[in-house]
Amino acid sequence: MIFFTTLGVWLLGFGGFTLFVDPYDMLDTPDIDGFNARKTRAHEDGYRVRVGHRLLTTEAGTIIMGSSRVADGFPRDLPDFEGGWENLGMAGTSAYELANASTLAARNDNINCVMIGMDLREFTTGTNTQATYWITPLSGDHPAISLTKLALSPHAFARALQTVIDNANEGQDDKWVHAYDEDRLRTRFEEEITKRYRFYANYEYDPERVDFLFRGVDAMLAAGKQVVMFIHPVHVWQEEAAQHVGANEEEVAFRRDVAAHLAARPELAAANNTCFDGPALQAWDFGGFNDVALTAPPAEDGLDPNPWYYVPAHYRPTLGAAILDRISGVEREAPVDANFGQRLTPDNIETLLTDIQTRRQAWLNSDDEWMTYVTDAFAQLDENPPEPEASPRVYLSDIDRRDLEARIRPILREHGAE
Amino acid sequence: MLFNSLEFLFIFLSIVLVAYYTVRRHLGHDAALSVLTLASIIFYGYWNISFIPLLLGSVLINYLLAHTIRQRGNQPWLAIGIVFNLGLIALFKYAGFFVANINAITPLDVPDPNLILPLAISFFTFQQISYLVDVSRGESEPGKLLNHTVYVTFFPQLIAGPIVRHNQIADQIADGKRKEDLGSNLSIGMTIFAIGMAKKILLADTLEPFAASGFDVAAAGGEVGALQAWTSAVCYSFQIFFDFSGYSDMAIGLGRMFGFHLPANFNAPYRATSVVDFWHRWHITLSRFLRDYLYIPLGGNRKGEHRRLINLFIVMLLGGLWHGAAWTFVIWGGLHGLGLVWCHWIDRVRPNGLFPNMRWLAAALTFLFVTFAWVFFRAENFDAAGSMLAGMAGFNGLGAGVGDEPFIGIALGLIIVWTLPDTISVFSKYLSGPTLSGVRSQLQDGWRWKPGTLSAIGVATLFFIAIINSWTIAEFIYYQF
Repeated sequence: MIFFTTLGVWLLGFGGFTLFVDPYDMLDTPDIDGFNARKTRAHEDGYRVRVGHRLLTTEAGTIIMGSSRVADGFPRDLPDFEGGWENLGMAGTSAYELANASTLAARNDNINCVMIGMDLREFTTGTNTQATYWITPLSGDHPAISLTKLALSPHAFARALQTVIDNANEGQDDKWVHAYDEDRLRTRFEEEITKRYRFYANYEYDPERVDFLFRGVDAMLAAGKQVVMFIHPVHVWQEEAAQHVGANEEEVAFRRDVAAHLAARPELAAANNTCFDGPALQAWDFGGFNDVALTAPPAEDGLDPNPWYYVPAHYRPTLGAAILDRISGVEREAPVDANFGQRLTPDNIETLLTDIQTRRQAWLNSDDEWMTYVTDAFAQLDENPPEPEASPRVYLSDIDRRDLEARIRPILREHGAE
Repeated sequence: MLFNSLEFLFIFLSIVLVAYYTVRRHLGHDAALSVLTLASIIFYGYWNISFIPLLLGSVLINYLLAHTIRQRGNQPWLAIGIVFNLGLIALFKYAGFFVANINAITPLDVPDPNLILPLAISFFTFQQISYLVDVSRGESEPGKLLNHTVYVTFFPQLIAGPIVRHNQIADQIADGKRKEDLGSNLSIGMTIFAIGMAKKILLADTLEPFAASGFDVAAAGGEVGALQAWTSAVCYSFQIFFDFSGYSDMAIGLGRMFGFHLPANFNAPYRATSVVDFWHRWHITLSRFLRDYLYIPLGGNRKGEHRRLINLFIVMLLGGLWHGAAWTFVIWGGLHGLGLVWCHWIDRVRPNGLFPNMRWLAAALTFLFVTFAWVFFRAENFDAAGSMLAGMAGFNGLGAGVGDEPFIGIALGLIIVWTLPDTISVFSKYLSGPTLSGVRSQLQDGWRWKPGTLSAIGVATLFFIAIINSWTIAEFIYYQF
């Protein structure tokens, strides 16, 4: 009796507290001023809890998935977007998470189109998931089971506790709230030079993760969704870091692998309701030293911000809107005109790769003061290289592949694709 | 359904416990056994419903064979039964392995059958082989079909053991008149279950990423530095122990909740002072199975010392193969076979052991040997095992740093295995003969559990902590066997 009573007290107290505070702003629990009204920590799990449930419940016809580049670079919603729109980006996501998220999107009949933002970050041999992945439907659990796990999760409990403390003393996550303050962005631009150098110095590309993601894409295609994948337009300071440190081969391999997967799916059933002109499966490349990426960093006083980027790795929603327009075929003016981003196909991949190098050379040969600035900075780092970013190598396992297939096969069978 | 899953903990177990005891009280023992059977089938089918016919078919065929043996004599029915059970494993578990080896050494191109390995096949086939042999030896009665079905399918031990001999549990299953001490069963059973779950979740799964890191690099063809190789190998030694012994504790705890006493499977194996001693403490039920149904029929020690050593080696090779359809498992078994041979030889020339006054050194060396052998057990293939061993030998230098966490994990693991008594010692006062059979003389000194308010609160809290840390957890390692 004492055992069960103690256990019950712990479970109900712990779980009840977490659910009532609702740190991820998902439930309809009462918002009490000074207790939980301000959801100051809803972002801390990279929005996984929210995205995991919203993938199953959203009524938006078009969703966009990807990393923080998507979460920050596109609006949360677009009321005028035909069919509805929802931003379901997850900070720090990976191909593993995106593939499994794709199986949820495939099951939601409201979703017609899925956009997926990509870059090398999602395809490295890094950690497959962030902690809260396992307490969301992303892991394959029924939403009710996920909610129970959420209630009994130490992560969620910690966020709930922080939320209550923040509400009690009017605190917040200052680092997150002020992450994109204009007067800090120039400093962050400068910091990215070394950070990206260190990141790419230790970067290992895992082509199996591209395969993995495309299995998730297969599920969405089988369910009649249109899938539009695109490579992010990161700033030239980040692009050049990759080239300088020697991650260019990985950039090339990644693009070729995407093209190969497109080639392996030549005859696809048309999507049930397309949101963008063109085939059911598309890939776009907005990277590669385009004009937008070559823009100057923000001024130090914050009074002359870069119009397109917060920091080299994250662009503003103005650029996200331009990406949307470009994919939609909306005419715009330079630098986000028809030269901004190209469809990536098996037929043009080599031309596209050559063009990237041509543009890079043109930039390196230019007299752009910021080109000189950043290449000198990289040269200085070459003389005294910083420690590469150390992270444990994590590879996809047979269990990972088996679990994904177990989620995909029923979808394929249901839609007659297997 | 994993024991630590929400579905099992909060839905399945509660319903089955309530149903079992209620039905037993109002409708009788056989009806309660039927509830257990149904629950066990649901438990098994939760993994893959299409293999339920295989499980039940195996149960029925073995039951009929046992009765035939009893009525018509041992042969050829015993042989048919053994061939049938081994044939099942050979087909589902080893067909792909055999085909791959045939294709590798001959010009043939036999297609891979690509059969899915049915969960628990290694356990329920071995359990039924022991049943048939025990019936043929007169050591056990065939019993009723319902009882036999419960014996094989009983969900606490169905998936990953302990391998329960028929005569260890047949009387318990058949005993319809026993008075259930519900409070005792639940308190002891739940406590052991909670401890097992804590071992699995809080220890084994915490160590998993540190164990995996070196092996994953090796599997991907990379070079593993000495630091990473050693920390991965040692962390894996602890991971597999806490994982498997945790599972066995949970099985014993669950069995006890229903009033059944399953045999102990682990008894502080990393305190073993020799490989012989190790196999008296690690996967005890498998070790005894191999002894009674393979080693002794091969001749045991009755045909001279040389033959004895050969028999030991063969048994361990096959024991390794039982764990998995890959040569790395055979090598692992072979290494332990060599270890046993070495120990028996040393026993002849130095009867008091190599280090009679330094048992700690003998234990440390045994642990190192076992860790070395685990490299083959865990590695994905020979090349990966070779990479790990090269790293451990220092051929790749120290390599990249691994941080402090693996060392903290190793230190914690050593403290636990070398200073704290194992679960069956802790609960020895409340465990019965069938559970402690053969291990009572080797229990460790130290803390003993006794029921009370503080221990109930403590264990409930530990259980709660394990539950809330369950959600990222992978399967039990021995599920794959």
